[in-house]
Amino acid sequence: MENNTVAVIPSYNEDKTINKVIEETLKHVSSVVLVDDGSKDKTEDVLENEYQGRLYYLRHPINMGKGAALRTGVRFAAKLGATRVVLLDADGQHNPQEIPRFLAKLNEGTELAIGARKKDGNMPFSMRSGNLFLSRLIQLLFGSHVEDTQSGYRAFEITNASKLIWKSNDYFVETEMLIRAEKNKLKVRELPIATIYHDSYKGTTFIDGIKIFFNIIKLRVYD
Amino acid sequence: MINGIAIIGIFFALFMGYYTFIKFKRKEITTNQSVFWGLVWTSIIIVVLIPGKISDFLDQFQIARALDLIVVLGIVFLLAVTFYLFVRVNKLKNKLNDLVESLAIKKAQKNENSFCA
Repeated sequence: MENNTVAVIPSYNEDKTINKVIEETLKHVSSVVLVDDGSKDKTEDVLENEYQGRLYYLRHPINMGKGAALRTGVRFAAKLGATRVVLLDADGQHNPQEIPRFLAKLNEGTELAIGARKKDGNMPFSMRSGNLFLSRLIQLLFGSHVEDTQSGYRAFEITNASKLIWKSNDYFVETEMLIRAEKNKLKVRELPIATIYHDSYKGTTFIDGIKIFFNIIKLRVYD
Repeated sequence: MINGIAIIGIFFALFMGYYTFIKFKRKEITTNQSVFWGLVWTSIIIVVLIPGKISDFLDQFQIARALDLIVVLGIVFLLAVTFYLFVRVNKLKNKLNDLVESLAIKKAQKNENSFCA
């Protein structure tokens, strides 16, 4: 079957970066599914009309969380007939030029490809330490070998979506996806990606980290 | 002799009985519900007014004090209510997820020909 790669981009108040991300992403995929998760800025207004029918815009009437937006996007991508899905963020943290490397990983037989950010000075200290702690915990509890468990830059075949699909609506989505992949014995591989942080205060916070910690324990004991 | 805690207990039960009655008159709760809660408030007054008789009754079940029984029953009740609320919240969360997702997808499908940039 010919590959139909669709990028799913969840977005919340990213009107300043969204066009650039879409433009760059469309160079490497068939189409983009943008899920506007109840943005209160001008996201819908700033979207340009030059995408020649390759951009699908979905909007949650209320903000539900990243996990919910990704779930809506992946389900819609499946309806579009996608064979592969790439997940990336709308804030420019993920360089779309690295998409071909993700697809190459899938060609090698990888079932969930995860972009692993270098934990250097570009990553805020709080993110680095939180990421390290949570990654070690997941390694310990689920036998995962993934170093960057919180990275949202990922790709998988749509046929594996049912084994990965997550229940969480919030930032726990990345962790839950990985845990479900490990539980379903999918081949998970990492590839190094650039570490880009435009805003140290956006994204997951310390409180999100605490929630993720408890959710990891819950998935181990209770799911 | 009625002590301070007993007075508080009686006033609380009387107030809740009155509140239950108002809710019943406004048809916000059914007759069966108001009878049930009426019995609960009445039993509190009884326990408070005749603790000696209650103690004799509890001795048969080897319960030392009425207060212990009330505390244990209260904790059990709260646990049951917590579980019930947990199940209800989960159900509502799933319904909200489904609703928001289907609204977003339906709208996108409807606009597919007119919107897609």
